[in-house]
Amino acid sequence: MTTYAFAAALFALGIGGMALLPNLLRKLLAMNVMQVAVIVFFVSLAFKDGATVPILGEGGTPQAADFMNPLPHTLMLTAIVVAVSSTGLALGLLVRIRSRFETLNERRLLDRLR
Amino acid sequence: MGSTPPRPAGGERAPRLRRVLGAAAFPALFLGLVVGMTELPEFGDPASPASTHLSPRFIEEGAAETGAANMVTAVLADYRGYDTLGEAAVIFAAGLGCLVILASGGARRDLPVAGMSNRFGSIVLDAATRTLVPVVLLFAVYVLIHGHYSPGGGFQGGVLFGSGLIMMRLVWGPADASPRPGSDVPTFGLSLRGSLVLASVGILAYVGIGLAAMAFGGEFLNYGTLPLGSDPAHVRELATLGIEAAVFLTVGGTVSLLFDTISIGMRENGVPLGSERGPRE
Repeated sequence: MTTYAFAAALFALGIGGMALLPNLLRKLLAMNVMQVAVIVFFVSLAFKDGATVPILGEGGTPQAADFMNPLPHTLMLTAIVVAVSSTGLALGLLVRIRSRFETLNERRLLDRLR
Repeated sequence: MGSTPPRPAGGERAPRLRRVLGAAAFPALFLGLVVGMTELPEFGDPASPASTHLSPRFIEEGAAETGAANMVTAVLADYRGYDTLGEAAVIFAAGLGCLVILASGGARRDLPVAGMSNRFGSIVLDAATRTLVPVVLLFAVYVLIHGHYSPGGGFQGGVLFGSGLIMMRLVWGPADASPRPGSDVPTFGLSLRGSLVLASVGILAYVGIGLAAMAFGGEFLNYGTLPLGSDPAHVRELATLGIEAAVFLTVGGTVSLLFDTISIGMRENGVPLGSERGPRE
């Protein structure tokens, strides 16, 4: 439960940062915090008491109770890399915004767009 | 921080009440999430729905069916190969998108390319990079190949490979700067075009393996029919390694492509690195 609450706290922090921070770069960092929250949540769902990492050791037929759930790990593995590339794409957009409007501040941007 | 510049007209903040309400919404969201989470199964409960559907099959049959002791690799590249193809395509699309955003319109291609103005070259960094980069690149390939038996695989190896390339860029300058004439600096560097080609080859190889499985009578990305041997688990193991290698190329190429387009784009768009900007925002 503590882990779930930690994920919830990170998620609220990330969403809050995206909504409240004025600078677009900080909004992007807050979005990353939110993505990490989702990853923590999924990985903690995979945890099983008394189980080990989902890599088969020597000998014996594997029992489901002995290994953690590999599916959330797989999903988050890809999610991490997708988060990295979406951050890269967002940084590209920020470079263009900064070059065209000379600012990354949300309110000043809105003024210039008017 | 520092001197306060005159605030431009129209830059005033939102009314106080709205700010307070806005800031209060997120602790409320946290409390709502925690209340909702009390309905979840206990942390670490082996009988939770997530652990009793689908995952016992992956754990108990996975290694015998796919030949990969690492069940995450088995799920990633075999059982959910179609999903992973989508993920790789998303990553490639992000790289292409960044290239299109930064290379179109305002980018001034006629500027002389004079090395990255903000590279961190010094004799210590130069020597350290010469030693570290080959090890990092080699370790990336190890992580890729050993992904069947230990934590690792195409995504992790690809990111390591990309970060090795980025380390060289940071110290020796950007990809589009040719190695200084007469210098003995080794360049494992990949040009921007090279990164793009690498990433495209990765995606094409992924789709190609899927189509080859079809050509030999199976379904798309169902590798069991490929003529690579008689033991079906071994055939799947080899095909999975091929898939992981394709993902490795895509991710490594895209990470390096993203770094290059952003660093070149910042220079060409006149966006300063660091704190030249003055007013705090």
